[in-house]
Amino acid sequence: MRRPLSIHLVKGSHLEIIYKVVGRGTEKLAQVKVQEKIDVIGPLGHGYALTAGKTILVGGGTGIASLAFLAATLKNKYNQVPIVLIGARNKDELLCSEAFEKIGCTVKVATDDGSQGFHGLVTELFREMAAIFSTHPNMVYACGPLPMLRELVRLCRHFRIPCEVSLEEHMGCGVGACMGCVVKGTKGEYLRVCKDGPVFNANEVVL
Amino acid sequence: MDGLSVKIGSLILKNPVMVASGTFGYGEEYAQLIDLNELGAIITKSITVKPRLGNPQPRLWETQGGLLNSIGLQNVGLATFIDEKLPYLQKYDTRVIVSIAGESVSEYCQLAQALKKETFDALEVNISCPNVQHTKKGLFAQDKDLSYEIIRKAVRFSHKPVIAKLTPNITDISIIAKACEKAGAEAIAVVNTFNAMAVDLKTKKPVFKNIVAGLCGPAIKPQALYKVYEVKKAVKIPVIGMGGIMNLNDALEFIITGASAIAVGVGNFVDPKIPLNIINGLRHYLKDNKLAQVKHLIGSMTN
Ligand SMILES: Cc1cc2nc3c(=O)[nH]c(=O)nc-3n(C[C@H](O)[C@H](O)[C@H](O)COP(=O)(O)OP(=O)(O)OC[C@H]3O[C@@H](n4cnc5c(N)ncnc54)[C@H](O)[C@@H]3O)c2cc1C
Ligand SMILES: Cc1cc2nc3c(=O)[nH]c(=O)nc-3n(C[C@H](O)[C@H](O)[C@H](O)COP(=O)(O)O)c2cc1C
Ligand code: FES
Repeated sequence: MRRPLSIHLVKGSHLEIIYKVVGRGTEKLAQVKVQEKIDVIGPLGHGYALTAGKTILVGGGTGIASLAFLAATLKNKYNQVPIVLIGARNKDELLCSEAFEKIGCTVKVATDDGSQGFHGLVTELFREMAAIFSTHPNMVYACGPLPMLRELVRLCRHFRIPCEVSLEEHMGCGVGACMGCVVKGTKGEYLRVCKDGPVFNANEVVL
Repeated sequence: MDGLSVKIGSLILKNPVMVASGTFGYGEEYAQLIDLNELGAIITKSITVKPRLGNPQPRLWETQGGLLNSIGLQNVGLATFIDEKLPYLQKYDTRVIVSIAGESVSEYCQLAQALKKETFDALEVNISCPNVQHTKKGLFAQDKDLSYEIIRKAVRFSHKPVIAKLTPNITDISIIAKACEKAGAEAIAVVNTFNAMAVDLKTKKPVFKNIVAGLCGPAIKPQALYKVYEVKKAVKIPVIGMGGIMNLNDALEFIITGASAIAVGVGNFVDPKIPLNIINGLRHYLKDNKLAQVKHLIGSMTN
């Protein structure tokens, strides 16, 4: 079966992806040779709702990869770069900070072991910043592991900042047909990550 | 004519390749990826009287050559299906087969009756979904009397050709197939998923909340094929074969064993072009083997 991956950046006619080898599918992908053809379906689902003005991107783990394309798109569309907060276990696992800097973003880093930047979770870094914002951001966009997203959504509610989260689920069809990839919506219904998401407003889903 | 046309009871298909219930949504989800007009038939997700939420996560688990699913029949329900989903499918030049699933005999009657005046080509009666409770003893399709009763009523109330979809989770599938034939089914769809499970080694818990899930994909193909063989021997009505069909050769195996048509299920997830590849493959196969009609291949196995 296929594996869902985000677009990291679009460069001319090239798509870049960044992925971590965690199992059979990603292992196979890592064995693909240069110039070898692979079959891809996409882009699928819907992405972040673009918002002008001050925005913050919060990323953890491989979730960081998908935010670079958002940062580039926001810059192209509104000529304004977001503030980027990224977290990882340690500095060796930190992804993409140069990609964001190239786009012109201010990048703040958090590592669990303190080997680079803020010592602690990226959500703790966000909380410290949010407490002293002079102007609230218009939107927080987040992609990362579920515990990170949960805490971030809680904080955004507390500070009354709108928030969009990009979610992950194991997928079957990828096009909204099989109902395999669902998350619980706030109205009690199940929403499809592949089609209704993967990006949801934090108010739409129960994490 | 390209020789691909087959007959399923009173239903004429332009080719014997269908897409299986639950793997193709309501058709619209795949319309951007393949030309739906090419398909022999589209079998919709099973519809229930009321919309169903479905089971909690996880719902999918990939295994060696297979996929376990525990969707729990999440669907939009009868009313929305008739208002929004069916009109979309009617635009296409393909046969539309509506799959229904009830929690009781009377729900099957309700579904068949409500669909009576709608425009579509056949009713597939799913009496074999392993992911929802049927009776205290098991699935409807594990009980010959209940199978008979449900199919009999579906035939009477729907005024459409009725296809009975059976479970492989049974010692002797031919008993159920015969009961459905006697009840007036025009065809038998063989098979739904096999009962199966998986354990999460990190937590030592079963992966699925219901413990049991349905296994499909290449892993079940030889078993599904044998069920087709058993049913074909038992009944005179046509058999629709499915279970792990991923390419032309798989499809041919089912047809030669006795399936008058075949359906692609989880293959649609792997590559949505599989059904069309099989259709084109059949065309070439006929030509290369100087055969006029695919229907001459049906049940052509010799031993
Ligand atoms: C929208 C989206 C975007 C993504 N973008 C990226 C990206 O840009 N980069 C990236 O690296 N990753 C990304 N991912 C995650 C990526 O899809 C997975 O890491 C990948 O599918 C793993 O495949 P695999 O075959 O290597 O691992 P698998 O063999 O599938 O398993 C990986 C782990 O998950 C567990 N697992 C397997 N099946 C299930 C199940 N049904 N439910 C719960 N757990 C299960 C396994 O036990 C194992 O521990 C994204 C996911 C989504 C949904
Ligand atoms: C995600 C999923 C959902 C399914 N939902 C239904 C359903 O609603 N009704 C039904 O009759 N069969 C359902 N099935 C079973 C398939 O229609 C088919 O019988 C089975 O998967 C075997 O074929 P395959 O191996 O080609 O997938 C479902 C299968 C899958 C994988
Ligand atoms: S993966 Fe099939 S509905 Fe999302």
